[in-house]
Amino acid sequence: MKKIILSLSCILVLAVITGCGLTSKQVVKTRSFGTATSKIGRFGEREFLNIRNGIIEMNKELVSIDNTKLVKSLKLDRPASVEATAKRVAASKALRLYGELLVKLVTEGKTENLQKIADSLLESTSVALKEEISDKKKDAVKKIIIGLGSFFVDKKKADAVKKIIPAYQQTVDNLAELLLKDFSLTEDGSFGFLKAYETTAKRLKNASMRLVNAGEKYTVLERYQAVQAFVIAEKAISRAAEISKKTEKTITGFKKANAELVKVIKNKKYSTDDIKVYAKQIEALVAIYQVIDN
Amino acid sequence: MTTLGKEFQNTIKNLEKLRDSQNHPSNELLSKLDIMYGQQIDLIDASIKKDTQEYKEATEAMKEAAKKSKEAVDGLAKLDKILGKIANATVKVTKLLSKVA
Repeated sequence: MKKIILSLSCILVLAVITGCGLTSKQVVKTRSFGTATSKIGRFGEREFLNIRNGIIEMNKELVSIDNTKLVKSLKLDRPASVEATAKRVAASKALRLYGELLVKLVTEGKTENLQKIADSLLESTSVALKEEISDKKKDAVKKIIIGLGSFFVDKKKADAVKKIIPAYQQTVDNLAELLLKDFSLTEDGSFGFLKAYETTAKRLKNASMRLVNAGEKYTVLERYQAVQAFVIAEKAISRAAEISKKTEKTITGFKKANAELVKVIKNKKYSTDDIKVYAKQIEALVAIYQVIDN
Repeated sequence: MTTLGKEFQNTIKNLEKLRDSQNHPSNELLSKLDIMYGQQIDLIDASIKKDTQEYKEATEAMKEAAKKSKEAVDGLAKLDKILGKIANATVKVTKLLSKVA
């Protein structure tokens, strides 16, 4: 009798815990979305620095081949100043941390640094969006893990996932929107960081054409330097086009997947393929990025 | 509704087509393009207020420059005529930028 009561109690406790946790489908979708989002964040962190460095390098080339340019009138890093770049890196970092947080929350036993990631996420989001994070969002992210026995930790983590994903949906969409604006090269007249990079490259190409087309007016060495500048500019122009094309597609996929994830978390029976599509898009972006950078 | 940014990009695109259609594009054309690239970077860097007279004038002038340069691309023979329009438009943008500097 005692054994039966003990077994029944165990079953009841397990049923309560499982009922309040996440289904395997919810775990898989959250992990998949989190992994992809941390990748897009990491991509942004690296690429904004690449854009800034690229602009500086191309402007250095421009000053050396165009003798009408003065360093004084040409701020080498404009418009990718340290401050402007840092703001964008913060937005990317916030996306990366959000992805990492979700993955940790749905991965069994991984609790180390969880609180640190959550705190950094709040800080980076606030810097990137230049706004105070609402109490609702703060509450969802803050104090994720309280020192309970490991048996209850996974349930606590599942509860955190259920709170964080809906509360943070709009915020991460806004962060993604910032990235989209900066990586867009569309001709609607909105200018972002990648547009500045492309324009700097076009300016360098234009300046190098003057020398390359001038025939015997310049020495072989001068001509060689102009050809080098031309090649750098052409590479940067095609790099910008490739990155823009893939990033726009990926961020559009991200926003769709983000909305779907909220539905998946709210409704255990909800089914979607959008998260899988988004995960594939980010893989394509990462692949093209590796090719471009090599 | 049109914007300065949109007209700016259209003009640059047309001038690039004109430049690339020639083996030896004139220095004047290359210089105008250089000025426009520089101004485009300035525009990205600046916080432009759209509800000012300077913005409206710059947009109108750039719209005219985009239109004429498109005609030149279509005709590829009226380059001299459009360079005056480009000069006028870039002066207006300089005026706009000087307000925010």
